Amino acid sequence: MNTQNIIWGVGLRPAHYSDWHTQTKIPALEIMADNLLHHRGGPALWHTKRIVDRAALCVLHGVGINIGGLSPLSTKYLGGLKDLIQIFKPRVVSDHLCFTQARGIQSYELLPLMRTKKAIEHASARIDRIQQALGVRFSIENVSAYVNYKDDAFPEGEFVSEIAQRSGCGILLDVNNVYVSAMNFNLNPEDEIKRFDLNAVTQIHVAGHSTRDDFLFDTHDSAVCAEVWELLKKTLGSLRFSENKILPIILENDERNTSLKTLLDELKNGSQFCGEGISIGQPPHSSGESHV
Amino acid sequence: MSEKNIETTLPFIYQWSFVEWMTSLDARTPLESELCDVVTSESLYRLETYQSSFLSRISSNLSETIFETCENLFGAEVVAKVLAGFFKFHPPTADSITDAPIQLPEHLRATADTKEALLFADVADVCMMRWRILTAEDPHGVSPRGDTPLDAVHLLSPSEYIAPSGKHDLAAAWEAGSEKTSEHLPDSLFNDSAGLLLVKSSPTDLTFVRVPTKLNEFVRALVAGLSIEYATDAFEQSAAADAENCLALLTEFMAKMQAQGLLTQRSP
Repeated sequence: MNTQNIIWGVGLRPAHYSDWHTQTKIPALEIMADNLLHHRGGPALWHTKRIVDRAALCVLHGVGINIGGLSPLSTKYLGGLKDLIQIFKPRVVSDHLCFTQARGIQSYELLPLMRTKKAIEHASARIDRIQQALGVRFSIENVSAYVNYKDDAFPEGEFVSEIAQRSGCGILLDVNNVYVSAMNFNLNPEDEIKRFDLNAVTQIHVAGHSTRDDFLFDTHDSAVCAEVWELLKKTLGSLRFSENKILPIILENDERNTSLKTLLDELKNGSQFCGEGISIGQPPHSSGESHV
Repeated sequence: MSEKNIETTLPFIYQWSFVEWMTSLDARTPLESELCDVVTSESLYRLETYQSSFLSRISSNLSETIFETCENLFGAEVVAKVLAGFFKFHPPTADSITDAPIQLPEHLRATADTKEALLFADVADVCMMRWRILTAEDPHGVSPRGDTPLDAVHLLSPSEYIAPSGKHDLAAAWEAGSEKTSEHLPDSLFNDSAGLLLVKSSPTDLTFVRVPTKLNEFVRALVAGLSIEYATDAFEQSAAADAENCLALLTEFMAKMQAQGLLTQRSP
């Protein structure tokens, strides 16, 4: 993959606001939409605007749309997202292919969908409506799974890719989630990655996980393990993009006490391992340039 | 339910079983729930992961955003236990996790059997007031000049006020909860003392002001948007025979607010 295509970055966390203000160069940043949703003012919005303004680019990532769920899509939630899109003009807008609520009761968790034909039809139709409501192309992220269903009819990569193809949306490929899900069900992570339509990938996530009893748990609270970096490296080797396509790769870490320095060091080491020098300080995104 | 609805809903019933079991903190094991019909037997035991992470995610998120002061005052374990008790009766329905505990203070007051629970309810009210103001539109205004007539001087907005409850010293509680505190709650927190005014003076600055009980009506009027002049009228009516004695208190209070940059002049 052409090195010019990749922009490396990290998630923007409130604990790091003051550190970012003193950084001379800021990589790509991922804004957590739910941290700013419906904020009309205040420190989170104030800091985010100033920091993102100097970032190489930004992407917007949510957790609450409930893409695969049955409850009606929330016009309030989508309206809030649209406001954030207008403020930040992110290059990619995404949420998870999962369900988060049922009959109005919220779980605030990313719950795995049963991978059936009906689910594909249902999710594709909803993504269509989401893209219309937001006015931009949307991307769906694969989630980590700890359970699977007796009636699952598709491998995950094919399921996600079929939905992306039908709806025209992009795929936010979470390499750690592929790894966790594969290991939890005795599958080969490399084989599982190949089931994804890599041409539809608009962004990549890489993150750490932990072990709970005898399975892996997606915690985002530890360093990325060597196996996941290896999986990412092999995945990048399989990607073929046109010259002008940009691929943000975001390192996720939600651990409260992880310092920004630790995060950036991990990003640098990981990107070097993958054979790409970290691209901090690329020209900032220009107004209107977004949505791969 | 119509036939069309059944066709649409049946393939997704598992979602309701999942969310309902998970959020009700159901004591049934996964094997005893409806989920054993849909989840593979080898992964069924992992469902408990979702149930335990439901509460820990909400507690952790709310402690970081809204309830940091509650956590400092009462401890993380107490906060988690209070939230668990609340969500058992009121499963969350809000899109935003920060809106999920809106009815918490009311719930605590209705079910509390200890004085600490009642204090928690009042402090939770302050926490949520702080969050509302923090995320509200930022203030814009000009600090009043010395010659600005009083009918053009207002309190900065957004602002909110909690009147003296008769039970708790909220200003002292807030101060005690501003950092990690000692293991027990000081008895002084259980004495009624003053009202609490909160004003946003910039995108990143909130100011808490202790309000003497005698100035209750004055501050209420300011927060309602009245100018200093009209709020003073409200104060004089409430103070009645004692107005003259209280005037010094009022003057001192206004000087303090001016010094803290909490006043603004309304543009003509």
